[in-house]
Amino acid sequence: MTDDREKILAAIRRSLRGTDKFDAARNPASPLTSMPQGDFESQFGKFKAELESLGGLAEALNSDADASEFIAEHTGPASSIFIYNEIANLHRSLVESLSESRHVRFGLEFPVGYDKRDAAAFDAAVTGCAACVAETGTVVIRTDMRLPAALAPKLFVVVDSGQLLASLDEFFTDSFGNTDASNLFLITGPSRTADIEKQLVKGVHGPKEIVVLFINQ
Amino acid sequence: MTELKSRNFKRLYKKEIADQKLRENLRKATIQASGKRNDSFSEVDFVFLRDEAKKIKQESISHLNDLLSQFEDNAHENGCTVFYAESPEKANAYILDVARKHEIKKIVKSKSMVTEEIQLVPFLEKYGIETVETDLGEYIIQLAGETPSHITAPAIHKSRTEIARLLHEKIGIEQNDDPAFLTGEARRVLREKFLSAEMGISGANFLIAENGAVVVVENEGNARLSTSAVKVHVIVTGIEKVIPKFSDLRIFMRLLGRSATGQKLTSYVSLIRGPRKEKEKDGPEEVHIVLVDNGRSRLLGTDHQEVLHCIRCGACLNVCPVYRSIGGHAYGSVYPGPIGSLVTPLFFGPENAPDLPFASSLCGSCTEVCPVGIGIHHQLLSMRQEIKPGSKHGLESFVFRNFRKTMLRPGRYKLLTRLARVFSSTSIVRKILKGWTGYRDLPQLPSRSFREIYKSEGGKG
Amino acid sequence: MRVFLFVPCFVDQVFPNVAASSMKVIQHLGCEVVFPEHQTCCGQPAYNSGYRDEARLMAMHEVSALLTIKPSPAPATKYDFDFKHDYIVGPSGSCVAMIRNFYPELLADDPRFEQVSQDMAKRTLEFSEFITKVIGVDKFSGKLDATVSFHDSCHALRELGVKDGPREILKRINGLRIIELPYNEVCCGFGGTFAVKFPEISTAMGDEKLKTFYETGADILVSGDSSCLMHLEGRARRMGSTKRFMHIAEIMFQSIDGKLTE
Repeated sequence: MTDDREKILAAIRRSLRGTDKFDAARNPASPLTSMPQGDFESQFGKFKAELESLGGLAEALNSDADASEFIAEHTGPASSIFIYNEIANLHRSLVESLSESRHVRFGLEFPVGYDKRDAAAFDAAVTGCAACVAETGTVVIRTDMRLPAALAPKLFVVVDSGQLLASLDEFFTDSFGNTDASNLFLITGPSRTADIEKQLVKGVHGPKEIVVLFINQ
Repeated sequence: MTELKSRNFKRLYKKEIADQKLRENLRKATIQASGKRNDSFSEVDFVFLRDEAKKIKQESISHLNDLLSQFEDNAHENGCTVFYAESPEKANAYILDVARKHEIKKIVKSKSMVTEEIQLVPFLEKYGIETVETDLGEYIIQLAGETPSHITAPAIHKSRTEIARLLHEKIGIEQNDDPAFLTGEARRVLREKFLSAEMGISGANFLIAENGAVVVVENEGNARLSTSAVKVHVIVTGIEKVIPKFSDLRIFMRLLGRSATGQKLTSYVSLIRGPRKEKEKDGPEEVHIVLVDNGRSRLLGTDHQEVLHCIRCGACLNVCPVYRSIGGHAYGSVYPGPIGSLVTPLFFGPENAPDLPFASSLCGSCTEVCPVGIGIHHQLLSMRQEIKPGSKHGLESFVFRNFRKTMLRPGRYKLLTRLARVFSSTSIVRKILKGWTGYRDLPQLPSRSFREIYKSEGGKG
Repeated sequence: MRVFLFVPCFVDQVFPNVAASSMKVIQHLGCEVVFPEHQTCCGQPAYNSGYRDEARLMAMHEVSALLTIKPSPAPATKYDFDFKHDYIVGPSGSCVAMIRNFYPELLADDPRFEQVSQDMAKRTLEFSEFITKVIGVDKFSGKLDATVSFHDSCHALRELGVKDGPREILKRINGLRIIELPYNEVCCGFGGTFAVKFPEISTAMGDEKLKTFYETGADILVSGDSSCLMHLEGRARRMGSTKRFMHIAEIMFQSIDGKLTE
């Protein structure tokens, strides 16, 4: 089917002919009136406060072992947990100790074009992230499998403390804009709706619980 | 979803306003939403953000041609197919074509105002393709066979009791009006739809020219699934959604969530760069981007160009006392409220919505909250001047012509106003003033006007 | 400094006491007040209803009329108004906004009125603005035993940015108790011809406003715009209420005159 490209672009040109071209000089200042600057402690404090105000959970932990223990505590013994490749690669000891007490499956086990029902079978998913933003309590994920993290009722995000950004100003920059991946998801708190009488309900189509674990390495 | 009914505004609003319960629900919900919006701007400088957003939108619209071409090039590079559609028919036909090519039987769809505008869902259903709205509010509306009554809260007019009854009847769940229960049941039913559908349809909040990314903003996670858990993803949006830079999102993302629902950032922002890459194990194999014009390019270069800056946050609806009184359905259009009273006549022709620009007290609350600085009430005012009610021979036109003639001659003004005071209590005057006297008492008229008092007291008042 | 009193047509005809009170309060504060007798209507009803051409002609008339003490045919060749020292003051935020915000745009393409409409806009003030910004609110004090709430008209609030001024003035009245209206930034539903074109919506909005007013328990609703008050009082009377509605100029005058007249 041929489209109306030429017609529409010509109509736009015609309508705009003779009007002034407007070029906006961006004001580089931050619109934030208060923002913790500097050290990790204060930025993590902000991140935690924001995420927890939305019903999420953030913890700063010292090791993979602590993280493994934390995840085990927050999932039932019969839980089935999906582990993203990057976690399996970068946090080997976390995965090893978690697999002793929980049923885990790995991204590696899934072929390209896997059956999406297989991704819907998990009680929790553990993923890494591309960045975290203190201003809003946001995690940014960029994965080779979109579905497990979107379908599981619980999402654990394991973060290196160096990935924490102070504000959205630092995230919306070329280094993130020019990513190679087909997708980048900003996740801010649990999935939610207020479509019924404006009453907030957490956990609609996405995770009801989101836990962000910072590991100081 | 039905055709445009804005011509019947007067009939529609009278029906809606008579519903006391609706008015109470709406008032509570919109006041709550406006309050949350106001609170959420405590940490950022609203004026700074609004002025930046307005500048960026002005730039985007004034370079629309170049930016669309740039977006298109980058989207192609990312592996997307871009299709321009001048009319709803063209857009719908293309999407049907894509669906047929892949032998699609079921589509999961997330919220998109443009798809409402082009009436895509009834079109696809007519051709036997099950198309499921997956946003909770939209799903409720679809089950009820209604139209959304708000841009961001489509089921705002429905009470939990009505929703419980509806879901009980339509999907056979236990009758229980707890929102958490209802949401859980909808999740369960819709989860199965996500797992069985082959195609997804979404809108777009922004198109980024410099990298070809499509930005989709939502709270429930349904858009994320509609764009991810499918083989084919179709994005339907307006040509005016393109902005130059990825970094411009630092402005818009801070404004949109706050203005819409009082959130610092919506729960999910999906930045979509195209179909799955070689190393990725899921995600759509094809991504189609349908850019709809449908009257938009006609607004360029006119005084109403800035209406194209709208980011569909719904803040002007929440704060509007007219909207709060009559609700979204009264407007007879997919675009209700103050912004709808502009968009509807501008997109679909003023003759199809002649009353809407007048259905405002011009209080200016809409303009005050608009995150992209659209002078909404001033736009309504200038629309009024373009589509004067009635013809040159109409009663109102007659009244204003004579009103003007009187006001230009102080002698005549004095004489006529004196006569008016004498005859004010007669039934004929009351009949003329029935829009007033049917609802309110007339003030008791004084025996003398100020100018008479002033004159008689020798200029001392 | 002289004040050229701008008396909107419906104030002249329906609320002469508002104009008279405005005049007396300004005189009481030591200013000379003149009433340019040639003035009629600012043209806002026509302008807001879409009748731009009619409004333009009325605006042209009103510019000449307001700047001229002695009647003369429009446009005047010479104005009595001194653009350096005199002010135009009107007891209506709405009509003042018409002159100040919309005349310059409405008359921009007429060489006879382009400059003068801009100059005039700069010297035109709403009544309470004139008291707080030019005279100084400290110069005023009064005494009155009553409980009031203040209603912001949308045009004063959003077109002119008048918010704190009227409240500062009311605080200068000894014995006056002021209770803030909840949702005081929400429109009362008057809206000019909107009130008669969509009376059900207008009165629904009015009823909400009245409900919040009744909830405050105040005796009198005070505003800077008689048009809002006419709408609210008309609705209140129709629904059987006996609450009182007064322009801020009236309550100021009462507070220096000593009695609260019926």
